[in-house]
Amino acid sequence: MKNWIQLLIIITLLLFGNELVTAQGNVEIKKKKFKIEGKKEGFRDAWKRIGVGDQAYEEAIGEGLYGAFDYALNHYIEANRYNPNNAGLNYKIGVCYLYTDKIDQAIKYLQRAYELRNDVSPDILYMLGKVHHTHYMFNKAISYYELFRKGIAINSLGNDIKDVNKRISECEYGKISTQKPLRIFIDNIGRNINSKYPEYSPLITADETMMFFTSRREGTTGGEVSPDDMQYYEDIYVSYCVDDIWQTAINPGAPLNTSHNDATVGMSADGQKLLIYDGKKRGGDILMCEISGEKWTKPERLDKNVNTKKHEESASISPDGQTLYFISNREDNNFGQHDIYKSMLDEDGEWGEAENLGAVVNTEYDERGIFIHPDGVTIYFSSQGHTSIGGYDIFKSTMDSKGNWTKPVNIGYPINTTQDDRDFVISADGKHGYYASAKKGGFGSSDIYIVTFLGPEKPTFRSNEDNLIASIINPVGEVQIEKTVELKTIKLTILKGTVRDAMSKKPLEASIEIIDNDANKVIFMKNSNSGTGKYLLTLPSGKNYGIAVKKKNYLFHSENFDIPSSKGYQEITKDIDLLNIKKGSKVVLKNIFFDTDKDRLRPESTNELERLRKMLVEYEGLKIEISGHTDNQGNQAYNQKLSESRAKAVVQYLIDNGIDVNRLQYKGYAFAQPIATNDTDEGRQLNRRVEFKVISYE
Amino acid sequence: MKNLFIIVVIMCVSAISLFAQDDKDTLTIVAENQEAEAVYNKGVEYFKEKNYQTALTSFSEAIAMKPQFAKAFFNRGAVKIELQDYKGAIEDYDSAIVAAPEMGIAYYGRGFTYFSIEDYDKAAENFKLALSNKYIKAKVYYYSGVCCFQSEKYADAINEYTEAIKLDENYAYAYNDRGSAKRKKGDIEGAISDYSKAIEKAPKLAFVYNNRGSAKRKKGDYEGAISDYDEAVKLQPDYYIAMNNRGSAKFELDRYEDALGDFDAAIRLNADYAFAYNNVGTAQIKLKQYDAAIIALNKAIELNPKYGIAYFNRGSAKQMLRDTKGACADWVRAADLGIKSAKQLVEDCN
Repeated sequence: MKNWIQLLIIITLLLFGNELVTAQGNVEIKKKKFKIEGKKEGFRDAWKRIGVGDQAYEEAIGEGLYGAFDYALNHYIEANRYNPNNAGLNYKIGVCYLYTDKIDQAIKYLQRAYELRNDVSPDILYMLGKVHHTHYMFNKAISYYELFRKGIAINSLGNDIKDVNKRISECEYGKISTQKPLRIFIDNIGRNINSKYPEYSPLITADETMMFFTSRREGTTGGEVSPDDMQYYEDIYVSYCVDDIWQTAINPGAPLNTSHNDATVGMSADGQKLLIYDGKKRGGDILMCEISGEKWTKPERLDKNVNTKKHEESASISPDGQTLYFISNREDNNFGQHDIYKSMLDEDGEWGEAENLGAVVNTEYDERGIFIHPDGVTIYFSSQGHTSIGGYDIFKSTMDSKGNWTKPVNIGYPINTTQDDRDFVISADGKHGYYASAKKGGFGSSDIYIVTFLGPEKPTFRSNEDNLIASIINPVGEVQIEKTVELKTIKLTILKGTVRDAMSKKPLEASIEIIDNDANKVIFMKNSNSGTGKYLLTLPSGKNYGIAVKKKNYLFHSENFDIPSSKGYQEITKDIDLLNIKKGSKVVLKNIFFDTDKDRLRPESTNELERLRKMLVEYEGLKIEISGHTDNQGNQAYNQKLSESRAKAVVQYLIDNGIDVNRLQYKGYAFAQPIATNDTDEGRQLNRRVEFKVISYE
Repeated sequence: MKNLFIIVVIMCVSAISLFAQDDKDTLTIVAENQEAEAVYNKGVEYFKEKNYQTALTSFSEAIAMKPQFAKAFFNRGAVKIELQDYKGAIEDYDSAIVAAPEMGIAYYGRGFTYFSIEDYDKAAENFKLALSNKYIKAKVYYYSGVCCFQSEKYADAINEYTEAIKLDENYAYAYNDRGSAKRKKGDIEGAISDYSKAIEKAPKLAFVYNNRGSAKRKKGDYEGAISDYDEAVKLQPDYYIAMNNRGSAKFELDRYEDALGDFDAAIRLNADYAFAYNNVGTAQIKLKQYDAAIIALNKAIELNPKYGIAYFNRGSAKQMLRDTKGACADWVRAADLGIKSAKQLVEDCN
């Protein structure tokens, strides 16, 4: 984590953040050249100041003590009073200003240095390009880069040419990107989360009720500072959102936090699993822990398919918990530097062999900071390649139905800047993004910001009218609109709630199975939290979902959600009460389907029927009654017959599949026992059902 | 509809004078024995003096004396239109037609009465009868065309207007209306050429310039549209409709400040012009003056509480002021009022 934190904190480092500039090193100021003939006065002092300044400057460059630039600058400026026409000194002042983020001054001195001596430093043109590039003066940047390229072309430095070409293309992308800024609000998330110390790497649950982030604030566990940069060690913090307000962040303590660096890199959409980076061992590894009740389990290293001796850092887990996306710079199947990999959970619950996401997503440059959206098919990641406008930019790619990734799209300016932009996460409904940035006007250092997406610009509608008919004075009106815009809504349902004991209302840890009824298969399984009974499921639109909630000694509970593919984003809260297995307990079998007005069981019912059968196998002393119910449409005799024959069909299935006939009864109730009104379609739908009731349990 | 009444009356008066002339001639021949005709002629005089009540009495007397007196029925119908008794007028035209089934002008009169009460189907039917009974005038075709236009039968309207133009090649109104019908059918070039003809025949009609401007605006010729609107407001300085339209043309050229100036000018000419307030709001949204936009849109909505697009626009302005709830409430209202684009936004609001 450390490298990247430094990048966040000292963003100006970027100005030098590549191999070319490290070569620049130092420019020597020669005494003879500095001394002005016939101007003795002030020379001694000025020369002395250059000496002091140089010492600080070298420390700053060589050891990364950026604070020293300020000190060097003070002395250089004094020296410059004696001789303002020394190219080397102008160059150094320009560099100092770069680091102290005074760009106008930096440009002025670097340009002056170049005018005085166009070979003052081999990288002077590159520096001038870079400073203009960073500050969005793309055309000027390109012209300096091109001049630089001309110079190195003669020396045929291949790598440098490649690098400068990359910068030029970044500027070209920048020109396009900044012409169409995103329609967003960017707000500091506030003092309940941010402090004057660095905060970064925000992670949110799909429903935006909980946020984990990393901070190096005062009061972190152990209270010690890192000798590398004299900042407090990292700790993980958590904040909850209540009535749209993020509450004061809490340090969750052990086992998440230790006296060393503890940083979050990923969280499951339901907030039940946390991925943590450990940079101390094996070149950097990813750990995972789960919340059980209110307690986090000890973070454990993910298996060797994920963690290698190389650098693994960021990771994100798919909403169904089956796929882990992560970043690694391993050498196998690598497109260059850090790439995005994925690993699937195998039948034994182990992470399977890692697979590179491929050349569409990964480039020869670095890909970092992976996040999979709760929709399960969209990834957000940072890359220095693709259409970056400078440094790392955040990109988005979507997996199509065949499993192929779409060409990554730059998510746009001003989220993406000419500097490093990383670790962007986005809410399930796609309306909010969260990221860290060291913006001016924040609480200090890097802060967490919330991005509100306003969607495409809304068309404005104007009204006009004309006197179309000469003989009639009343004008004829017409509405004039701009081109309509296509809104890309996220098609996702968040289903959340609490699983409880029906009688005591005590929260329960239960297993939740999510079934694709049409495909008749279990898509994934989850547990509700053992302490709070809470659960959160993400269900992409376009399926008929069966949800089965099971717990030992309880009757299973079934729910059905038919979510058509056109359905946009929605959040449904559904608390589930589980009934003890005892006489009289009754459960509606919501995933049993019949053909209209018939008693033939549809194939989509198999999963539910099997669940029922397995329960009867598991609890041998259980005798049940299956009952059929209808709505009040049609006559009594008809409904009586239909309800009874449907109940019988279920019983027949169980008998055919090995359940003793003596344990089963069936009965039709027609519309004698409605559970909802028969006056609405929804009510009637609820009334048409099959139930089972415990007759006895020994 | 006032214009229409005036035209109806002009038509009737000319009809009356026509009959009066004819009757004078006959009177000179058979004066003694024709008391009904004498009373009738008095009625015509009263009508010309706008002494409608007395005229009515005279025609009624004439009818009492001569129950099959078609012309008297016809003229009494005209009087009743003046007295805004449309039902009575139709009854009189009916009687005139019963008495003289081949009296083309009576069908025309009855057609116009239906036209006045906006019953365009019946009006068109009567205009047809007028023509088949040999009352073949450019006007009949013209108003027949207007009926088709009002019933949104634009192809038929174009045919009728064309017939009118065949009979009177200087008929500016017919050119204008045919242009409008073509525009409705999507034939913008045809519309522009007809409006130009109308301008050629009658260069002082501000509304024709306005219409041509709007046709040009429709095809994306905003500069051309602006110069037509310029002409329209020059001819008729209080023509707020053209002013508002010119604003929209400037808006399309992204000249939002200028557009705002025109919309404001339209409001100065007609302080209750809801359209212009709405349009002011849209220009201000583009200029990022969201607070001001909301004030203008509030006014538009105050003037017309069912103004769907004004709600839509106000919602968009509120969103930019971070009033998401207010924005969504406005979009919901817009969707309820039938603005389709709002439905999408509402879905996204939840």
